[in-house]
Amino acid sequence: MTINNPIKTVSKFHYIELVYNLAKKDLKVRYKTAALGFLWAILNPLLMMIVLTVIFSIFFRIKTDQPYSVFVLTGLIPWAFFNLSLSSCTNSIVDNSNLIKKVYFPREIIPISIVTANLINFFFSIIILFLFLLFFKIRLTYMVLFLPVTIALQVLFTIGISLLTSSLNVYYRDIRYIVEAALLMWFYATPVFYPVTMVPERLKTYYFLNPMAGIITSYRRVLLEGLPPDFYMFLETSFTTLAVCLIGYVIFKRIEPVFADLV
Amino acid sequence: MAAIELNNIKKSYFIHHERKMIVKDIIFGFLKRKKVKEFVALKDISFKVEQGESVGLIGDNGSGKTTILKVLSGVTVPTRGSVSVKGRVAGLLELGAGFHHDLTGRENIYLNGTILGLSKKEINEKFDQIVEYSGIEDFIDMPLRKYSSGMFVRLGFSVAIHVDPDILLIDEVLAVGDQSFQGKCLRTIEKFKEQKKTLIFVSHDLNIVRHICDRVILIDRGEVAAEGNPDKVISRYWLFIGEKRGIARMELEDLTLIFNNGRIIFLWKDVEITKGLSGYTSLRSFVKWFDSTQVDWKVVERDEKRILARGKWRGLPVSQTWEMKICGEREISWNIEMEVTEPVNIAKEQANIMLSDKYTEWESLGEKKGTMPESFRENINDDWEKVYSTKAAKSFIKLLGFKSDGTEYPSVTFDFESLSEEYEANIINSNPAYKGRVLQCLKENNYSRQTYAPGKYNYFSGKFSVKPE
Repeated sequence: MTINNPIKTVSKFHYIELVYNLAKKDLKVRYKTAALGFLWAILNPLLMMIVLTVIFSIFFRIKTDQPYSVFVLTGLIPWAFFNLSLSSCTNSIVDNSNLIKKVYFPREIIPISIVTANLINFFFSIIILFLFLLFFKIRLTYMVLFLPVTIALQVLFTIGISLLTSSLNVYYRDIRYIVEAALLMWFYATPVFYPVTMVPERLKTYYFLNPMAGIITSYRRVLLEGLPPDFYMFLETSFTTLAVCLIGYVIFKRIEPVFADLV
Repeated sequence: MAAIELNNIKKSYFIHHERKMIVKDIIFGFLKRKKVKEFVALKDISFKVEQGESVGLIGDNGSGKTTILKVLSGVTVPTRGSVSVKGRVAGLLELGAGFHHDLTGRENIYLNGTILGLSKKEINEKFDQIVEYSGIEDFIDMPLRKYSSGMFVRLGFSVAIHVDPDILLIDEVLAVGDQSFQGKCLRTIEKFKEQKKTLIFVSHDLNIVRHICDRVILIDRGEVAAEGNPDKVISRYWLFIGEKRGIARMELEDLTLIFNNGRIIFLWKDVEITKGLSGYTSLRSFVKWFDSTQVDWKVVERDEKRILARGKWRGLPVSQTWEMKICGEREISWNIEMEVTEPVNIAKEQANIMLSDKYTEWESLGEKKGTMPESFRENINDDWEKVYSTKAAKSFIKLLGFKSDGTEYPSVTFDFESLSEEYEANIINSNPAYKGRVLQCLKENNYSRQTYAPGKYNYFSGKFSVKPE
C-alpha cells in the first residue's frame, strides 16, 4: 500500500512567486474596494491609540517612560498585524475552497500569502510609527538593527499559529469563532496598553510563555528605549515560537491531504 | 513509457451529517457517537496511459470520472493505491481558478497563470497570445465583474491552454462557451494531440469523445467497466446503462434499438451505427431549434415489441409521444404525436437520424443514387450540407451498408409511406462538430400556418429498416 504522488509543478522558487502574487491580489482587492485604501489599515490602531491614551493617561494613570500615546502605538501596530493575520488566516482554507478543489499547490501557501499581505501593510504602518517617534523626539539608536529580527520572529510565530488554526478550522468550523474570542483575551495578556514592568515578577516566567508578550516588549526596547531585546526573554520567545511553528506545520500537513474533500 | 499509471486506486469520502463543531464535540461528544457515512467514489481503479495517447473517460454522473481527474491533478489524495504521473499536468477543469471579480483581466491572467504553474517570465512572453486567443482585447483592463459569463470562461480557458503542459486533463469544458469558441477549443485540443501530448478527456458528449480519443475507458460506480477502442466501448456504454427512467431497449437478432432520452440509437452486432444525436426530432420555434435530446423523457410503456415514451419540452408548451414498434423483420415504425398546450409558433419540424460517417453511398426512390462528399465543411458554424432532396411522400432515403475492417454496417432505410405532400426528405452531411450522415424528414410551415393552436397533432410517422447488405 503505497501512496506516492510525485505531482509537482516547476521549481520551489515558483511557490515564492505564487505567495507574492496571492499577497498582491489580497492587497489590491482590499484597496480597490475601499476608497481610502491603506488608511483603513492604519486607522484602526490610530483610533485605538486615541481611545487608550484618553483612558490610560487621563482616567487611570499608567506610568510610562515615554509619552503614553507613542508607547501604546508601538504595541498596537504589531498587535494589529498579528490580530488581522490570524483572524483572516483561520478561515482562509475554507474561504479558498474553489482554489483548493481545483488546483494543486502546497496549501500552506494560502496562510503564508495572507501573512505576507499583512506584513506589507505592517511596513507602511511602521513608517507612520516612525513619524510619531520623530514628532515626540524619541531618538532612534543603532539598536533599531534588532527590528528586523523582531519582525521575523513575529512573522514566524504568526505563520505557525495560523497553520494550526486554519487547518483545524477545516475540521471544526467553529475554530474561527474560538480564535476571535481568544484574540480578545489575548490582547489583555499581552503588554500592549500597559508596560511589562507592571506584571508581577513571580508571574513573569509564565507570562512570557506568550510569544506576543516577548515580541511586543522587544519592539518597545528596540524602538523606544534604545536597548537590545532582553536575551533570556528573547530566547524563551524564540523557543516557544519554534515549538508553535513545528506543531502548526505538522498538524497542517497531517490534515492537508483531505482539505479538498472537506472544504 | 507510461505517462500516467494508476494502481488500485481507492478513494472514499467520509460524509458527516452535520458540520463538526469543536465546542459541541467537547460538550456532547462523549455522550453520543457521530454518524459518519463512508462514500466510496472510486472502488478500485487501475489503468495506464502511454505518452502521447488520448484517452476518454465516460460513464454516468457520479461514476467517478471527475474524481479520477482530481486524483491525477493532485487536488485530492487517494485513500489507497498509487498514482504516478510523469510531466507537467494542467487541467481544463479549473477554468478561472482564483479569478477575482474586482481585478482586471490583465491582473487575473497573471494571478491565474501563477496559480496554474507559470512563472512571471512565461506569462510575460505569452500574454499577448493569451489575450488574443480569448478574444477580449478591449476588456482586458476592465474588472472581471463587468465580464459576461462567456468572456469569463474564454479567459479562463485561454490561460489554461497556454500553460503548455505535458499532460492535459479536460473535464466537460466544451459544454461552455458559444459554438465558435467550442470549435476553437476543439482545434486547440487537436493541436495538442498532434504535438504528442497526453490527453485525458472526460465528456458526456460521446461524439466528441469518439472524435478525439484513441482509447476509451468506461467507468461505472468507481470501477473500470470496459476499456479499449472508442467505438466498441461507446456502444457497450449504450448497452450497459441499463433501464432507467428515460431509457428502454429492444432487440431484433443482430439489431438493438435503444431509446435514450429523446434519441434512438441503433447497434448492429453491438457496434453503434448511429452517431451524435442519433434518431431525434427538432422543432424550430421563432429563431431557435429545440431538440428532443434536451427534453425530459419518460418511458411510459414497454414490452418486447414496442416502446412508448413521452417527452415534455422545456421552454416550449409542447410534448411529444413517440411510439417505436417492431413491425417486420428488422423494421421499426416510428410514430410521433405532438401535443400543444398553449398557442405556439413552430416554423420547421424535423425527424432525423444521424448515422456513422463510415457510410458513403446513398439511394432513393426511382433508382436515384450517389456518394456522400468525403470531407465535411470546415467551419463548425456552417450549415449542414444538403446532398439530395426529394418529396418525402411515398418515397424513401437510404444509406447503403458495407463491410470494412472486419466490421459490418447494415443498410439503413428511412421510409415515409403515409406522409402528406408537405414533407421533404433530405440526405445531409452534418457540420464538422458531429461528422455524421443525416437522413432527414423536414416540414416547413409557411408563415400563415406557423401558429399551432392547443391540441393534438400527428407530427410524423415513418419507418426504419435496417438490413445487412
